[in-house]
Amino acid sequence: MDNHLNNQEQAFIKAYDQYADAIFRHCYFKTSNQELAKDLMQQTFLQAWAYTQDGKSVREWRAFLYRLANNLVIDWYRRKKADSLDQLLDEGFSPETTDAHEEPTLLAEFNLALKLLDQLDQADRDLMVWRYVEDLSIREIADLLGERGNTVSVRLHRATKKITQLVRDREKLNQNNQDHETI
Amino acid sequence: MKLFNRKIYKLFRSLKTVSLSVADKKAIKNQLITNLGLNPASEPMIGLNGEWWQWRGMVLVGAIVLVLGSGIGVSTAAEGALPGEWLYAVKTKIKEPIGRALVKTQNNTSATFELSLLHKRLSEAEELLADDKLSEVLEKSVKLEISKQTAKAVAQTVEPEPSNNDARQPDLPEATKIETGAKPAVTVEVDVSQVAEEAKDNRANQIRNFNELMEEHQDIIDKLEIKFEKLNKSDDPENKGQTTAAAVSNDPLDRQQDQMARPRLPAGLPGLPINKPNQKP
Repeated sequence: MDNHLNNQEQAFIKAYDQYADAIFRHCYFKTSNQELAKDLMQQTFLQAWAYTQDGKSVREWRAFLYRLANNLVIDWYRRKKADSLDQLLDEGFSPETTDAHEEPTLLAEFNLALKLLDQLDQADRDLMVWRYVEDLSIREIADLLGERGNTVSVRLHRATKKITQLVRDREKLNQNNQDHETI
Repeated sequence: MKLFNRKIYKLFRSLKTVSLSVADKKAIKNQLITNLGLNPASEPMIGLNGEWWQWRGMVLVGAIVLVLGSGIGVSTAAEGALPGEWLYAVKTKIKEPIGRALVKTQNNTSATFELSLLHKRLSEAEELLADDKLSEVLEKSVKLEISKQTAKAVAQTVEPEPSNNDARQPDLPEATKIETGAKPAVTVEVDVSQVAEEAKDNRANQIRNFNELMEEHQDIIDKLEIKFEKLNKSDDPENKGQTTAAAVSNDPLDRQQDQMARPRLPAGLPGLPINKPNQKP
């Protein structure tokens, strides 16, 4: 039985090392609050451990942690409505990685990505982040949302199309501004 | 989509730079590890790290397999059962009626099925005779089973009689009655002209098959007749000298079935012998 406990602990610690950042990001994009995201991430792992304390085992840690984090965020939303991502940008949040600080291009892309995300509704935002930031498969997303893979694919396609259109509009606007300045 | 693949994908990947600081990550990890020590995980509900419902599913599947397996086992064992054995009832009262019901859903196979059952009944009788297990008690039941099965098999070799029999009879020529045995119950009506019009190849084949089958089992039937004759002699003095089939037809129940089993056979086709199955008209 000691082996079992060790295995459980090892699996839990391994899951933390692998998914702590992803869960933090998930909470952060949903709450726009770095400290809150950190707390929610920690609570997510505490709840996960509490689940294993009941003698239950976890097979898919990533999906399981996302589910717990999602529920915690929903609970938090019920207590307090989140600020928009714009507020975050106004506050001048910068990514934690040193690369981003050193590369202004990366920071600009990051800010633009946040702005684009902010123009999507919450469901589409989750889909885009899960698929293109966290690299979750369609099936994993479908399991998380309790929907069929086809439905997720269709929704993802629509969200992608929306983002593409937003980028095109933005580029067209920038081009017009540049032409205006030239004139 | 090309635009997305190149530019937007890169934009979204930049979001991955959002992460915990190394210090924060380590601090939270230490807190969690402390929590692990304070609140160790309990034993799993059912061993092997399995969820209890997974095991419940396996138990359920196991139970289904057991039930099906035992059912198939009993059914297979019953296949070789002989009259007088307890599994014989499983064979004749459960398995064969199910087979009959299944066969009825498919066209033109009932006769074959009934003939195969008759074949079985005769084989069983042969086996009992060979082993000298045909006791007085079994004799009646074997006799009855063969009689019943013969009636069923014969009934399948002819088309059902029209419901309005009276309306049809006047158009037909007078039927010929053939006395085939000592007792009046053993008669066969052969409608010569009607048969020539209505006879079909499949019916002819079915009847021919039946006669061939009876010929094939002539030895068994002869032995049965001898055995039944002896038993009848000892039981009932009135039945002295009667052949087995005749003895069967004297039984009120058998006679009724025998009459049911007597079809209007087509002319030109081999008739159904009663006393001697291989006897041709």
